[in-house]
Amino acid sequence: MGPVRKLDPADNERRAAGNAIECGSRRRERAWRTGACSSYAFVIATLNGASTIASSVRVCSSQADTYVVSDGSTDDTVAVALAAGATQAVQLAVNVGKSAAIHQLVDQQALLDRYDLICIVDDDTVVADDFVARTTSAFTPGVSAVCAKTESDWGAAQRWNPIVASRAFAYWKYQAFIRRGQSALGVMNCISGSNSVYTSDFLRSVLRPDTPYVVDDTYWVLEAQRRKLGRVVYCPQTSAKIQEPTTVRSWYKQNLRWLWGTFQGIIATRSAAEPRSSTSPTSA
Amino acid sequence: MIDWLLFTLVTPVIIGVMVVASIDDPGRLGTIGLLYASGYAAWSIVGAIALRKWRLAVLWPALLVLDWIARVNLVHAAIKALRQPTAECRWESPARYAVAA
Repeated sequence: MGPVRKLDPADNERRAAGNAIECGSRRRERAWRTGACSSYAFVIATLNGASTIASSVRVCSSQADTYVVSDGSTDDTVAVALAAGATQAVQLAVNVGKSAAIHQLVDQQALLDRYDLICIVDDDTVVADDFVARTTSAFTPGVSAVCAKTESDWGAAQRWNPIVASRAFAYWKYQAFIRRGQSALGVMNCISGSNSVYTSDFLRSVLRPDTPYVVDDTYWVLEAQRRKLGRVVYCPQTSAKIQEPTTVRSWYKQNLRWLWGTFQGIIATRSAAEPRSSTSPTSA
Repeated sequence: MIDWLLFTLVTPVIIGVMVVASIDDPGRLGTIGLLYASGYAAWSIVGAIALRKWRLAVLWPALLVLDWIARVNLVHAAIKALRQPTAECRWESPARYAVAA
């Protein structure tokens, strides 16, 4: 592991200690219900994300402690993240993969012991200003994960891009007509890995360096259902904007990876056995 | 699983049955095509209003085509999962806007 750089270690430790005191287990339920719990951290895993990570970190760090792990990036991701307000940014010396990078960061910083809620976001995700408050209040007793609304970053430069338009349309349809119903029935089988929040207890059960599916969040949500680790709910009151593919090729490839992961989960869930990691390299 | 199956199969099956039933009647086939396209356009308008993005209404033909490619995509993914039921999570983000632009 490479060097760890802190923006302000003393301040960070004070905040962490304060969080632990404020949100002890006896007060957790009441605190979550009122949205008063501040034991909340963002985790951002990135690979060469210097061009986008500043806007992600800026809005996250204005709401909660924000940790960044750079998975062997060769650009100045870490410096950009720290300059944007990251609590800590860790540079891994070698590329270990997304799941392993998140696992290393969480383990090294003991985040599961220091925080009650952890939101794992992508390096191109820009959460809403009320993201922490809204998602925290969605953690009623028995809830282990909260998925916020996903919106496509459909800005001026992409205004006539049909791929971005298609994604925006697809998200709207899925979230308005499928996800709300699934959430109400307690059968959510898909979350947005770019902007979902988890309890530390839940992550302790599912976070592993060798996620057996090609998409880590698919593994987490389907394990929540398979092992009955708590409810997964949709929180449409707040949102996060994410960047979309801009070509048919990249769109198809991303869809393929997501759906491949979903079907891997379906196969493993039907077999009811603990999924094991692949030992052979794969290619999309 | 059911939601994915419904998305993938319902429209092709309904259209397929209607086309087979009208295979000898070009006029009727045209009407089926027109109705499907109009329905999709109307659906896009609803989305455009809900999202306050009027371009969605204009881009409906592209959305329709991508919708069919997405069905192929889904079948492709199912086959891939059968062949590789486990695989390591990987970094494969599409090019970022700032880079792609």
